[in-house]
Amino acid sequence: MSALPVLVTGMGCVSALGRGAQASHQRLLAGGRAPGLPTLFGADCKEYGLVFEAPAVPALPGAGSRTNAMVFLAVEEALAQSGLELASLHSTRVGVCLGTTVGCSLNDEVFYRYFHGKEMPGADSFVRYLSGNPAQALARRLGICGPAVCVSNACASGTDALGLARQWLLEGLCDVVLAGGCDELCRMPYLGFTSLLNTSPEPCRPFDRARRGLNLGEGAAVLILETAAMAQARRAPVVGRISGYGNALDAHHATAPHPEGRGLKAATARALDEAGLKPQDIAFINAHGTATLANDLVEGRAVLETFGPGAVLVSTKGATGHALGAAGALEAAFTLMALADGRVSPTLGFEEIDPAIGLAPTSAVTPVKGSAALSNSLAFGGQNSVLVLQKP
Amino acid sequence: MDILGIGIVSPLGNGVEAFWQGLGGGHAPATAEHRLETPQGPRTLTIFESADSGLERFVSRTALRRMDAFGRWALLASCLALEDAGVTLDDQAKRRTGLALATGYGCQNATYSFLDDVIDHGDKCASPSNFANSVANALASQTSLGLGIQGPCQTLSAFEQSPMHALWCARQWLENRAVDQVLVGFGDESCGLLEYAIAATAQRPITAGEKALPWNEGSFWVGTGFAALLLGRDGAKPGSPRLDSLEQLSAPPHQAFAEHRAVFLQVHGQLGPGSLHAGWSALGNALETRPLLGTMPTSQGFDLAAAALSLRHGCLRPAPQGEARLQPRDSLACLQADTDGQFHLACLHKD
Repeated sequence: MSALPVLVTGMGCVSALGRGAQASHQRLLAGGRAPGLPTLFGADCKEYGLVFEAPAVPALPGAGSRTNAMVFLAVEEALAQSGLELASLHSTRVGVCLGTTVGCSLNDEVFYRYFHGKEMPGADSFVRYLSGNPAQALARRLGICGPAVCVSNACASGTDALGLARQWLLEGLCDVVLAGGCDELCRMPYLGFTSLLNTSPEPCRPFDRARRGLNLGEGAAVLILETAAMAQARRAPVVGRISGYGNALDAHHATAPHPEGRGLKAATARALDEAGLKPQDIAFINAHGTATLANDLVEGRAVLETFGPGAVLVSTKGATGHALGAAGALEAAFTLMALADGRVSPTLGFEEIDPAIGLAPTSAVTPVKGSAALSNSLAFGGQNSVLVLQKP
Repeated sequence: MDILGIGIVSPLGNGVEAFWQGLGGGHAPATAEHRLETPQGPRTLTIFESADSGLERFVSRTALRRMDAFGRWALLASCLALEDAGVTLDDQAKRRTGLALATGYGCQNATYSFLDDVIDHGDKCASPSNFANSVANALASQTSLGLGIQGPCQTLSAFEQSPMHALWCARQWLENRAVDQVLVGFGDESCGLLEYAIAATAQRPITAGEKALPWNEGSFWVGTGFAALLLGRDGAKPGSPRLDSLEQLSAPPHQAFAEHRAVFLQVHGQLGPGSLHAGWSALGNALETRPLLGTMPTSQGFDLAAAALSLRHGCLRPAPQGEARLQPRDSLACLQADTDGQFHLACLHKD
C-alpha cells in the first residue's frame, strides 16, 4: 500500500542545540555537546544524571510554561519558513497535534507541596493548567479552530503526533496541521528515570559497548504539514515528505521493550508498506538510541535484522539528550535536514561497537545515499512508532 | 463504525447490565461527600465513585499487583467491552486490534503517590512503579499487557475534546484497514488535589447533598470511571448501534435537536456556554447523565455508551420524565461543548 505523501513546508526547533532548525543541523554535524547537571531545578540523588538544557528560553507572554514557550518559538520559525499565512486559511481546516509527556499533566510540584502540607494554596496553578494544554494553547494563540490535541504516548509522543497529523490530512480532516512535540525538563521525570536506574552521570553513549544510560533533554519541534494540493496551490517551499507511519504495541512490559523488538519490527513494516518502500530503499535510520542498555540492544538488533549489516544508524540524542515528548519531532526534523543536505551527523558519545548488538552507528559525518530515511521512537508501555521521511 | 461491545466501570456499577439498570433509576450511583477547606471557606464536593470490582474474573491477582486503580478501570472496561461483544482475541486478532484512549486529566493518583514519596521520604525514595503508572499512556500499557493487544495505540488528551479525538483516530485506523477493530476508551479519575483545586475555584459555598446545581456548577459533581467501546467497520455486526458522524463545529449545532430523537448533552463547567444549556434543555429532548455519573472531561464517552444501550434496548435512558420507546429509525446524538467554544457532535443510529 502506498498512501499519498504529506508534505512538510516548514520546520522550527528548540533544544540544547539552540534555536533554529538549520542552525541545529549544522551543530549536529559539527559535533559539539555540553551536558551538565540540572540548573532548572535541584535534586538529591545518589548519582546525578546529566541533562541537556535548552539555552535562553524566554518567558513568552501567554505561554504559561517553559514547554509552551518553546512551542511558540518553534512554530514561529516553522511558519516563517513555510510562508504560511494562517489568516488566509479557514481556521477550521487547520489543526494542531503535539506530543508531550509533562506538558498536559497537572504535576506542579510546588502547588502540590503546599497542598500536601495541609496549607491552602490558591488555585492559580490549576487555572493555568486548564489553559496550558500545549496543543490547545497554541491553537488559541493562533486563532485556529480545527482539531487540537496532545498525544501522550510517553517517549514516542512526538513521532505519534506527526503520524496522527498525517492521518488527519490523508482523511481530509484538515488542509494544514501544525504538528510536533514539546517537553521541558522538570524534576518528576528526572527523579523517575533516576529511580529506574536509566540515567547516566556521564555524557550519554548511544549504542556504545560501555553505555550507562540516558541524559534527559528538553525542547520543541514543530513541522508544518500540508496536503499536496494545499502546498501546490500556494506554491509553498517543500522541505520534505512524510510518506509512511507505523505504530505497534509490544504487549510485553510496562517499561522495557520486547526482547525481540516485536512491536518495533511491526511498526517498521507498517511504515514501509505505507510508503511503498523496501528496507533497501532506506538511506539511514534515526534511531530512538537513548543509550540505555535495553533500548539500544533491542533497537540495534531489530535494525540489523530488518536492514542488514550495511544499515546506516544514527542517534542524535548524544547531542540533545532525550527530550521525551519532543524527541520524535526533533529527530524527524533532523532526519529531513540530513536528507536534504546529503550528510548525516555522527552519533556523539559512540566509540566502541557492542558485540551484543553487532551494528555500529555513525561515528563521523556520513554521506546520505538515497532519498528516504526512518525515524524511530520507542516508549514506556511498549509503544513503538516509526516514520518514513523523504526528500521533496 | 459499528459498536460491537460496550464496557463500563462507573458509579452506577460495572458492566452494561448494572449501568443500564442505573440509568433507568433502578439504583443510585455510588457517591461520597468530600468537605474541603479552601481559602474561600469550606466547600463540599460530591464525588461519583467507581471501583474495579469484577476484574478478578478476567485477570489474576498476581498480574494486578503493580497496576494502580485507574489502570485497572481501563483494563476492566476493555475486558467487559470484549465480553459484551462476544469477542475473544486470538493471536491474529491481538495484532489487528487498536487502542485509542482519551483522558482529560491523565493518571493523577500515580503522579501524586510518586510526589508523596519524594516529599515525605526524599528524592532518593522516588518510586519507579509510580513513575511508570504516572504517564498518561500507562492506561494503554496496562490494557495492552492484560489483553495482549499489539496493534496501533494512541493516548489523546485535550480535556473535553479528548473523546472526539479518540473516535476520529479509531475511524482512521478502520478506514485505512490498519486494524479490524478498535477498543476506544474514555476515562478520568479524581484525587485530593483535583478536588481541592475545583473547590478552590468555586464562586460560592457548595454544601452537602445539593442536588440541583445550575449548569455552570456541574463540575462540582466530580465524575470518575472508564467507558470502553469496541468498534468495527460499518456492517461488522448487523443490528448493532452505529456511529455515523463525528463532527467538530465552531457554531452551536441547534439543528441537532430537530434531527435527532434525543441529544445527550454535556454543557457544563465554569467557563462553558451557559445560555445554550437553558435553551436546549427547554426543547424537551435533551438528556443529561451528570446527575447519575457526575462530570469529567471524558463524560461524552459515557453518553455514547448510554445512547448505544438505548438503541440496543429500544428505549431511552436516562428518562427523567418516564421511559420513552424508540422507533426503529430514531437516531441519537451526543453533544459536548468545550471551554474554547467548540462543539463536538457524535451521532448514532441502529443499523
